[in-house]
Amino acid sequence: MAETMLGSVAVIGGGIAGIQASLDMADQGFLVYLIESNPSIGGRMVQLDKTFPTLDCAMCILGPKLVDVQRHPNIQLLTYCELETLSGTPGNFTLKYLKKARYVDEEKCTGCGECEENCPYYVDDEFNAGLMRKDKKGRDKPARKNVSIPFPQAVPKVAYIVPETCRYLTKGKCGICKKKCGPGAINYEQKDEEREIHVGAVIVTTGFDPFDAKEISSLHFGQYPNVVTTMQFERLLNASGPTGGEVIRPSDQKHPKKIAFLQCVGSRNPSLNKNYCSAACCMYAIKEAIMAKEHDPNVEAYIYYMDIRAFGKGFEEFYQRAINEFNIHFIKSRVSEVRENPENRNLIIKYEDFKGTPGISTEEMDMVVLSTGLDPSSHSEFLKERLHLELSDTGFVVTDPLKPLETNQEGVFVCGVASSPKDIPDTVAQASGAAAKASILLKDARGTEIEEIKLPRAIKVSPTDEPRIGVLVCHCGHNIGSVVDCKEVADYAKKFDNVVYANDPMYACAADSQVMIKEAIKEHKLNRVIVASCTPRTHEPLFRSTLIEAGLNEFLFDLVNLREQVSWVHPHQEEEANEKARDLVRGAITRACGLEPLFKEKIHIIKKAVVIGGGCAGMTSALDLARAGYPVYLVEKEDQLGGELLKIPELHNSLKGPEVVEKLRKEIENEPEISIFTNAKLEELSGAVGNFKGKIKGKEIQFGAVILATGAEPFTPNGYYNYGTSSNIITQRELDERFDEVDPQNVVMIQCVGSREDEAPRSYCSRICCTVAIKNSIRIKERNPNANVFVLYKDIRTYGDLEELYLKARELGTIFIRYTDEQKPTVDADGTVTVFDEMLGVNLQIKPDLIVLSVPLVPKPNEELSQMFKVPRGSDNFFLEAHVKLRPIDFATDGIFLAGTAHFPKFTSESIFQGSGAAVRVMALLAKGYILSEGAIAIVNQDVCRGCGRCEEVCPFKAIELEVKTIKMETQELKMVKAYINEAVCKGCGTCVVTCPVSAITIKHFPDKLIESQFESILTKPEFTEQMEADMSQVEAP
Amino acid sequence: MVISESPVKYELDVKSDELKSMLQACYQCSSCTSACPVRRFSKFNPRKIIHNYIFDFQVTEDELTACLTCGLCLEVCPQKVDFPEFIRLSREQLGVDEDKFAHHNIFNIMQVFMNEMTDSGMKFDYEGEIDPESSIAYFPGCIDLYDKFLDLKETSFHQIGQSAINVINKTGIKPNLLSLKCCGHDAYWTGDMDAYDQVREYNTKVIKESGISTLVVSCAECYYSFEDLYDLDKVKVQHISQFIEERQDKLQFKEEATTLTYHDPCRLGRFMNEYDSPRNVLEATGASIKELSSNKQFTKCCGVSAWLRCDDASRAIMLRKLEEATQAVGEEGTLGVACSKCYAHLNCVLEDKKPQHNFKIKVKELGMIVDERSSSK
Repeated sequence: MAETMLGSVAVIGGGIAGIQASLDMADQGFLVYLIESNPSIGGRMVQLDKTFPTLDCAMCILGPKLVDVQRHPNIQLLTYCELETLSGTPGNFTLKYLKKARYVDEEKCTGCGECEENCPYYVDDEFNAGLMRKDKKGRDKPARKNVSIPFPQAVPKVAYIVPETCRYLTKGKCGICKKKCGPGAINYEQKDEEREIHVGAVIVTTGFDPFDAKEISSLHFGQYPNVVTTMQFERLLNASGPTGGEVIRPSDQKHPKKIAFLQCVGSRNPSLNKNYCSAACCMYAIKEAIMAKEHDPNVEAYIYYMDIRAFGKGFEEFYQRAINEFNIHFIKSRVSEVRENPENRNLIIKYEDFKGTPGISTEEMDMVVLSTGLDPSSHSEFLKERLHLELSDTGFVVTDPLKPLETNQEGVFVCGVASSPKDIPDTVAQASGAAAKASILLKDARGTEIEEIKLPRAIKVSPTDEPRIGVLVCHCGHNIGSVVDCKEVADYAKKFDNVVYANDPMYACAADSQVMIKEAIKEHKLNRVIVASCTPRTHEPLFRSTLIEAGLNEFLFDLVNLREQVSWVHPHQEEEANEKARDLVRGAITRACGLEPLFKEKIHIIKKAVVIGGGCAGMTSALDLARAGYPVYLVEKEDQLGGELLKIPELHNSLKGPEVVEKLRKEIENEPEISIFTNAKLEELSGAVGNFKGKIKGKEIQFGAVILATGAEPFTPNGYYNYGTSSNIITQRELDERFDEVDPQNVVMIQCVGSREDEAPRSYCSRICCTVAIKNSIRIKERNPNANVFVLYKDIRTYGDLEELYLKARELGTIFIRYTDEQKPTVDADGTVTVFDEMLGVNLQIKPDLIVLSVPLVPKPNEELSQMFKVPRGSDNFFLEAHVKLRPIDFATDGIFLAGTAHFPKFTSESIFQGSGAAVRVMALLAKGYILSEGAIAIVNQDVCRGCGRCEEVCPFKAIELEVKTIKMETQELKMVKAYINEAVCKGCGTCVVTCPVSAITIKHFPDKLIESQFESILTKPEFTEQMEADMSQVEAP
Repeated sequence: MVISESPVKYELDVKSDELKSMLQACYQCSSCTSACPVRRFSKFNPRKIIHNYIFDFQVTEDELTACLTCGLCLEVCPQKVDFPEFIRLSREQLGVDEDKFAHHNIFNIMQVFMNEMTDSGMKFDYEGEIDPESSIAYFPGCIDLYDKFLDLKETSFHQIGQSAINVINKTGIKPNLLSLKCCGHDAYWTGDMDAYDQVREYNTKVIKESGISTLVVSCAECYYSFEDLYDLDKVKVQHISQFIEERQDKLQFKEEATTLTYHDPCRLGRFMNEYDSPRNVLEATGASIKELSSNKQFTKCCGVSAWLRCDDASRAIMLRKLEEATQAVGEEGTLGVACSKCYAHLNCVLEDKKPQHNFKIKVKELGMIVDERSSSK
């Protein structure tokens, strides 16, 4: 361990894992260097069109996180940088990296895209997975120019030049981009630079590369144009893809009507050393098939698969929707070969139909999509050689099941696909978990490397002051300027009273423009600023911080979008576009006059946490929080810690459940910051984020945050397969418990008993039962190789590296028999099991001496907590997180988090990383000691409120509470219900405002009167008299 | 414990645990069945046979003999399940009904005859320069028997050997002509291990005692057997294509260009991973190769293996092969093969009586093509 701990961390890889880990570290006050080898952060997720199972637009949910990273004062983005060496000790590492030349000055580039527009050369486009785009003359060209911005929402939004193919850099000719670049950002002289940083810890989030489908030559990817990969299909579906979101065949631009998806291309394939299941492909193929049908209802989609692995939260339901609602065809057969019909370039796939039809079944498809697996990132060799990380045979970073976030190198943590294939929610939870581990290591150095920003003295603006408005009309290079006469619009703005300054910069967002804005505020005593440029999503935070730096309240700002709302949508109607631009600016001027300064309240919070549930998730959360220095109340309703793990003598990874518990319990007992309460419940809860109150065993406690880790337990399958009628019909858990007492010769295990066969709440797949059955079959076969074990299953769902366990069970002689819902197995009174074996097409009868039912995990009683904390449960009765994809361990309500099987069935190591993840979410909240309210929040006019409670119902953040208040009237006292908004919790979304039937609620910064006046102003064109013009001319010119 | 509708059971003693666990590792994904050339024209189903085995259910006589052991199933199998070896082992343990052999089982009878009745190898009569002291030997294989028993009018098998000796001579080498017995490939693959062991022992002894360093063969099956199944210590076994490739600078090739297509024999290609030498040699002769639509490791079998069951399915496979070749090089083109068996089967079907087919394509053995298109420098 180093003597001097550094309060900084390097996150290697800027995908969703790196982004989440960076934010969780930075929010606590650690300095984060986020290193990404590509020119933009975003990773693979930015290439996706939609995400399963919610069909959210990937970019729409990720975009805000990209901006958060960019704007975070504690994150330094090192994009287009390659890691070179790591040396030093935990707490103090030296990391050398190569900053690759972009040939574009990052400080000067405004991301206007002028260079890209004019560059005459094309390069292969990895972002669009190599797809081609039609150029103006209808020729196929790669979808990327030689100088380009990685993608529209890139962070940083800075262009880069591919040097190998740049005509100027290779031959000294061309140079067009430099001539066209307004801000003068192109710099052909730029060189790669060696740089060095010092960090306390490293988080590896190198992710994956899609499997190269050319490796399986019989599928003819790269040879037949209409064979594409799923990543290419994502880009075809995507509105910003090379076809503008039109799904077309590369060979003839026609819309494919019959599309086949082939699963396990580069996964579950030991002959290619891909022994693992890639864990995400089944779901993304289903998603793409659904999206193809959404784009064109006439599409017939076929998915050829071995097992559909819909094991995550909401996945099975999504799969069932694909079958029932979208009529996607699922065919259980692996396709060995794809051939092309040379006449129409259709594709012929060959498969076995399992109906006993002689010959090879063929189907002619318009398009074939290969569900390519997740290969370890091309950087993983580097991890091995330079970071000395231990890699598995298949190339993923090796971790211990009980320490899923730690590598063999102390101080180097790992998360996401770098350690094994996984989908986005698991990646996000792991990223938070890895941040927890790094935070614990560096806890004493937290805050030592960040600088508190010193702000100038605030300019006092009172509502009665005369508004003095400054207006900037941005050209955005040619983006706006080619359609809108920006100078004219700026001059127009000057005609209004209160506008004391106007200007039309080429790039309002450029660094020199910020200086200009600050000087104008000072010189012209501006107390309102309007920028007419582009989207507030990316640019409003920049201008707001410029105001803050000038001492002006950030809410005295308004942004007009002349790009997306004017120049881009009306490029061919110049006159009307200019009129619209003037109207919008006029509306903004009117609105600006009514803007008031708002202040974000600093709300003190209690730096203590409560963890409810003492299973492995809860114990991990408590330990991590305590080790990071936060006192924890750990509440367990049973008489001892341990939860379900206590009842599982042997886990699938050979760990002993009680031993795992014992180890954690000892660690917890040695942790002075943890107060353990067994046989206990949290009661009498009140308060909100930062300031909760409650009672445990009569003791009053106060805390700032809470983690719900209440767990799950096996379903009791009364009425299923004669369960309960014989001691020879038991559940997997009962087999776990009685394993040493039984010695069966013939065992039948039946999967999906009570799950995937019933309606909600148990329609879900319970994720772990396949692996549990396989574990027990292996244990039986290893103890007695002559025992026969038959596993009756629908799909074997051993995702990720669990696949190797499945293979092991088969190799040991476990017999797997697939059944379908149409022909379920039956158990006779005498214990004979009859099952129709689809693979053989015959009925089999087995007379076992033991029948083991694989039942789902169902949530432990959680209704009371759900009501107490006002947090929702899903249709499966598990707690429902804020967002299934990107906020898997948060509730929508601030200050309340979620871990372990209370969220959904999962394995011990998954509960552990989720427990760590929840811990860091709490740390990030408690670290500062205060929270800032939003500023633009809702307020209730108590006189008008009639206490109907509708606002309370609709508030997604549970910020509203109803209270009984005694109203003193002139003649009597009345008890009335009134709504109160907790400033600490309100996000200012405005949902309550529109719901309130008596208009008692208004939202600051967007009060009705301001919006109305803005509309009115837009709709009424003023006529300027000569006198007014003359008055105007007295206004100082800039 | 398991009662099925067809309760015939057999205990296959899969000697190697590796093979056993390999078979058990089968995921029933059916890649094999959807690739199998026999399946194209029948109900034959490798996937199901494996699943049956897992249950200890009997493999049928029909299944046992229908398999071509061509290895395409293994090539496409993600789990590397060695189905051909499973079939071979099943044949060895269950035995193959003599009636299932084509040509009245004459080639098996000849094998037995060679083992039981004589104490010497086959005698050959070729023109050309032969040197019994040479360190390089050539073995033509059983082709003279094909001439005698297959009774094809327009196809000469003897010419395979003659062409090979001609080409070897053109490279300036006088080979030793080894008098060996049949390589035993067919006995091995039909599970007749006694016959196989006898010829292997005899041949190994003769080869080792001859003092040669290199044994050149024309037939892909000979090449696979001597190189992969036998243990010949330091004696290097070369397929004729490999031998020619090594010495092609000693040959003068005709200038006229030609186009042909090439069929990879399973024993040379998938079994021995030799795809390049035949192509390099054919291209060196000035021929440009138009590939078959299924080629290299995905080549479909010529239709018969180990003289088992030349039936309608076999003929359908052969005709499909000729059709594929015609699509590649046109009606008047040439299909090159690098195995005496492929040469026999495809020419046999070509000589079938019309109206079975109208194919005019020629099927030629690689050594013959090189001989035609070369002279010594």
